[in-house]
Amino acid sequence: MELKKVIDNVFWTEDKNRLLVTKNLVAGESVYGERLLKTGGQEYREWMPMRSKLSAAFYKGLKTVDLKEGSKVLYLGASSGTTVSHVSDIVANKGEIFAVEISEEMGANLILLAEKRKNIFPLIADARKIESYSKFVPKCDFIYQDVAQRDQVEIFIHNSNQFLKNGGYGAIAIKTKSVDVSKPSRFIIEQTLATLRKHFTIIDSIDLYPYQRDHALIIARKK
Amino acid sequence: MDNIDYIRRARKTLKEGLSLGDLVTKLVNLIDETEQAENTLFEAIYDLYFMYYPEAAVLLKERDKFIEIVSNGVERGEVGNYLKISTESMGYDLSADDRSLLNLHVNEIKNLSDMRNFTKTYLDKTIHDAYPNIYGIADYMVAARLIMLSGGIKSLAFMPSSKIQILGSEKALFSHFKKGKSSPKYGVIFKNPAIEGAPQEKRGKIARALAAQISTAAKLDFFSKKDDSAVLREKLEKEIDRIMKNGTKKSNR
Repeated sequence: MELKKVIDNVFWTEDKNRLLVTKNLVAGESVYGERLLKTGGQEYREWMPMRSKLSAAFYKGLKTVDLKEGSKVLYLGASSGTTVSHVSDIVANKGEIFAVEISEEMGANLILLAEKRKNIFPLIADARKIESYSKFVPKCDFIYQDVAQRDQVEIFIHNSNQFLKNGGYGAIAIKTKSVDVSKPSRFIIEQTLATLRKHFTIIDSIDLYPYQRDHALIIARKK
Repeated sequence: MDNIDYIRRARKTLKEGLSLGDLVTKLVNLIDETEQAENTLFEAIYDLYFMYYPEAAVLLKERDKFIEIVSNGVERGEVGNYLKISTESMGYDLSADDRSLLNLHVNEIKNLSDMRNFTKTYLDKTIHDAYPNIYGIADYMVAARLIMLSGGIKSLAFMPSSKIQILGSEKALFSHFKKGKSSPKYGVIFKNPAIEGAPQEKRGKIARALAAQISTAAKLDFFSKKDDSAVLREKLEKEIDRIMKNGTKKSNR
């Protein structure tokens, strides 16, 4: 199996069926039932576009994103840790992921994941209430947000004002049906981009159809 | 940096975030899901039984009645005698093996039904012990659903009674806001005998009175835990009496 590097620890397999994989940080462990592939003595985990919006963005043509080994990442809306586990593969042992999740039930999965992966720092908190976790999160290189809330853009901006380094990058997964169900997706995305431009330079905006319906991933750089 | 401190803190937040209200929510879900499973199974088993003994099946359309009677024995002889109908049937004659298979299935659905009733009794006791004031004036299932929909006794205690009145009728409420349809008069509190048994035009008013008392009861349960439900019940009964005596639909407008 031939591998082509995308970013640190993320590869395309050069087979008939092109697959996105990440280098497994914890050998032998599959986090959410994904396939494990072995080549050249190294184990890789399949990163499925149906399960993760960041993966879907790569499948839809995202070339690069400013995540690398050793990055400090603030992750809002960590959920049970599907995407978090792959980001954990990317930033590897020197990196740190501060994973914020509000729901107790999802949080339980996240905590169990963090016990196996030492670079995940779980925070059971509301991403709207920055003061409840601000003393536990340092300045970060990257913010990833996937919260599917009506005011998710405001949440993203508040958090990046507080925690993102100047010139740092952020990725925001917009669920257009959560923002306003009655308006077309394109319109919501344009509106979001306009709001973001006050604080960010927009790098890319990717529609995640057909992997994720009514979702878009926006990559932005803090001014 | 090590994440052990973070894990410890998160575990603590998680433990403290869970409460009796969450248990009540899970129990209500369990009861609802069991009932759904019963209904799904009942349809298939009923169809099979209809093929075997249609004369009895038409008299046993009601799920709980069907389970009660057929679980004592599926044979035409037994069921027919019990229902006092002819055991001569136009249905398909199932072999002894077929009948014992049917019997096993009926027992399975009976087990589900018993389990649901057991869970309900348990929930009844849980609500009685934890929220004596709400229990005193509202049906325990209603009380449990209110706890579930409000997200716990704390938020229920701080909720205005007008919201308690329509909890669980969100669909109707939003079609009222967006499409201008008439506003809902009651949500899950409808299942209370006081409302369910009342004439159509009085139900809204009774729902309002009941919601007001539930609101007081929730505050009592959250802040004091003292059982004052007798006082509340008396107030509520007076209020309902007044509503029932007062005028017709027209004069109330």
